[in-house]
Amino acid sequence: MARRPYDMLFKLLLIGDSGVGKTCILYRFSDDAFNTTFISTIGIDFKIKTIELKGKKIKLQIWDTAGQERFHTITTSYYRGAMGIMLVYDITNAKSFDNIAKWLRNIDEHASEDVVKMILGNKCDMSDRRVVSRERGEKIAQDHGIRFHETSAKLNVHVDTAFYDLAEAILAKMPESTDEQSRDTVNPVQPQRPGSSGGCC
Amino acid sequence: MATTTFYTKQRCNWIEGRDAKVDEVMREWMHKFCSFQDVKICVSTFNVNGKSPQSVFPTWFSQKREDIAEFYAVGLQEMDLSVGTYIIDNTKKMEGWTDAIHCSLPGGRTHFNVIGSMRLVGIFVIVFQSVHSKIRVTDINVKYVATGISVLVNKLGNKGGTAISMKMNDTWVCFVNAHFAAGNNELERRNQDFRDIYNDVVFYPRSQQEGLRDRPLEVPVMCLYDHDVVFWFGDLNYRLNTDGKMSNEDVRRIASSEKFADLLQYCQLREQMTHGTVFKDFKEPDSLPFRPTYKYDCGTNTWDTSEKGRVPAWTDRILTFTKHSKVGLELIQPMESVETITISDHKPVRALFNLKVKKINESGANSVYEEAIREADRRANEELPQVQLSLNEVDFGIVNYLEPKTRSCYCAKLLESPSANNEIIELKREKIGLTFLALLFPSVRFSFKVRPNARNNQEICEKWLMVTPTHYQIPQGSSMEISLTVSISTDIVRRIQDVLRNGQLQEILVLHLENGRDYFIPVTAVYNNSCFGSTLEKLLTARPKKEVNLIDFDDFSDNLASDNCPPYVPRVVYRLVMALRVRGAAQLNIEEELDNAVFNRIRSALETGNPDDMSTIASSYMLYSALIRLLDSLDEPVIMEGMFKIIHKEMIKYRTDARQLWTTVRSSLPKPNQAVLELVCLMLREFFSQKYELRDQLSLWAGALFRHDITEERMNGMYATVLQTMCDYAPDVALG
Repeated sequence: MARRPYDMLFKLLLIGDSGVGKTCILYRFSDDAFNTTFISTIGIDFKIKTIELKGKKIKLQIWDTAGQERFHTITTSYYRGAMGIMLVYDITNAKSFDNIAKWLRNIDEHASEDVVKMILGNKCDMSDRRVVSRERGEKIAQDHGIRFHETSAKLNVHVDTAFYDLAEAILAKMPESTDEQSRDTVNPVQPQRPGSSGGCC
Repeated sequence: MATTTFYTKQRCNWIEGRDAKVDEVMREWMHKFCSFQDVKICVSTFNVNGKSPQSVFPTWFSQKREDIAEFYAVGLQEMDLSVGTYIIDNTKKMEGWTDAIHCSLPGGRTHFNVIGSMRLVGIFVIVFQSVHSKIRVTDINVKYVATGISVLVNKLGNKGGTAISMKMNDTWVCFVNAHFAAGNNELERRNQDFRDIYNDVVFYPRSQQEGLRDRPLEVPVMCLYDHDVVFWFGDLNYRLNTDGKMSNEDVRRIASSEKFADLLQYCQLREQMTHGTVFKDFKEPDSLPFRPTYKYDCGTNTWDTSEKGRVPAWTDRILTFTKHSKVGLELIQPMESVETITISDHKPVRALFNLKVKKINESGANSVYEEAIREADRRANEELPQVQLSLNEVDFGIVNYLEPKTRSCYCAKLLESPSANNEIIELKREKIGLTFLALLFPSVRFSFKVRPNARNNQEICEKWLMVTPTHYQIPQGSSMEISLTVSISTDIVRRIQDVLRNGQLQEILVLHLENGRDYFIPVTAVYNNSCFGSTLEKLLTARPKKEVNLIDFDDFSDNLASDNCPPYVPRVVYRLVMALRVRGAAQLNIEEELDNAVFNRIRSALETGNPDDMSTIASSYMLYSALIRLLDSLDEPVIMEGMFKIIHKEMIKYRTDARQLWTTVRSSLPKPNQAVLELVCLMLREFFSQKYELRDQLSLWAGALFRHDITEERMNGMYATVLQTMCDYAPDVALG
């Protein structure tokens, strides 16, 4: 095809402990839907959503990972192609917050160096069961120089904001000339190297 | 065109070709933002045989009021056959023909304007538009492709194509006029001409040609297939494949008769199109309701009477291509040839089409664009393949040595409607007792991925597990049974010693769907290593669980034969050796076939201690091979390699010196290893004395006891010699 597809494709990854709401955040963002039934993600799933940023159409391919501990060695292998990673914890679950340090280490070990990170404190609608204060969330994000949002997939609080914020940060890192370059067509299957999927580095 | 900015912030507008999915939605929603106008387009092709035109051809185009078209596109071939044309650009013939065509159009030249033309030597294409036409024609672009004889790097324009591309309102239309290689036997050349022209007709936006970059992104390069409509016409020179089937005379007779249509079945072009070789996705009416257009004696309607006597053929054709099914293009009259024009050896062919020319309401398009993107995303997500697995986890429970266990997992694609799924679940649950869904929708391909971060880099799982099939295209309307088998052989037992934690085997399979997600399938099994795949130490401490048998009092006895088992010899080894000795070498038939069921009986007897006396439960050979397997499956060989293979080296060194060998054994092997070795040697010595030919088995035993690299043939013999020496001289004899 002689045509140039000039859509940009950003590959994002959702990680965090099991049950913090990664899948719900993804469904809220992609389908604007919410389901209270907890079905553990056993594998790696993804959704597509096109957004507009700074006059550009950007296709987000968002990968949802299994949070269960036993799958960690496998899921880390999917980090490599990600341009942005959302690390999710549950504000009503102290353990999921304590594990953030561990998840950040995982990112350092397995993701590409220039990946844009973001921490999300999910389930912020459940204020009566909150055990992690907003300040503690902000603090840890600040300590690591990472963006932070408190979200509620259930009430649709800051979910869109978080994704747009992350995409914008990725876009900001890209050299100006990117939109002139020809790019690969969308291939959701193969984890792509960041270099080949978006010219982000 | 004036553009108004409606938005405060910069917005993306819809431009076709960016995203196939969005385009698909936009096409479906075209009625929301497009208006359509019926436009008649008349296309004609004529090989003029180098003749000069008459001033007018009154019959070339239908003059009937209802047949008058808004656009006329005419392609000529062999417009200029003079040699000079190849060298000097001579436009005289072109001007003459342009005038002649112009005057032949209904209403004459005053009713039509030339909007574009292109010439390559004698291959000429020209497009006229009615002066009354309201269609806005823009982005007119031309191109030629020469495919004729190569002269140095260039190809001559005696064959090739000329093309005009244009936008009629918002519909992209391309007219291609081509002259392919002539000659009955040049079929492949003609096909190649098609491919060359098809690939090389590429239009660059005017702005880029002029070096302007005012709209660098908005008008990308246009290929043929980027046009909504392509009219491809010309002297394509495809002949009739009648050679050997009927004579030239017969062809001529039929071609002249009412039954001329019968000849179309022999048409090379039809045949090539059926094979998909050329003109893929192009259309031509099923029947051509006119006689072959080639070859006539000029000035007549009689078939070629020259020396060559050409076989008639439909060389002159008009084909159409539409980008997608939503493009409204229709042939509104049967295609026809104009037999009244006789100046050439070909006849002109003409066709009248109606094209629904679209006009995009830009603000309308942009307002549905956002919605179309969301719809495209929704469809993309919906189309991602999903399957249902009957088992999310596979637990094999306890698995035994050499007793493969298989579990089936059914993989099926989810249906679009959940209610249909439920029915199928119920149906299948009854049948097989497992929950799984059947695949009814488009097929899905799965494959097991090489596990990321796996210890073994090439395999999809550890050796103890087998998966079949590892990849498969689940066809529409069915599901797939994936079978998982755990099989623990000696080879595997040794391999997995370090992964066996409390006998627990764990693996996670990654099932990948093509263009879709990955599923993780954890697989667990507990390996029963109470006997095979254990260590001598463990075997020594393990005492078989005595089953208290209250019914069979005869068997209720504490005096078991194995109670005489010497210290440091595991009971399981002792019981096998004793049983073999009791039966004697005479009963040992090494030609016997191994029977897995019998082996499982032996294994179970060894593990449970019941019956204690093994001599009656299986043939000698089965007991014999069980003993070899037992020793072979030990975590470490009975004669351990020790540090830097010292023991092995020593033993090879003293391989014929029994005294030294036994000294080495006694000084370097742990007590249990010594005891087992002595017991085995004692047994073998007995057997060899009873049946000489059993000595052939020495290397097999050496293999089990030393576990040296069996690929080293030289060493095989040496280890066998060591063992032979030790069997021939028992330690008490050797050590005096």
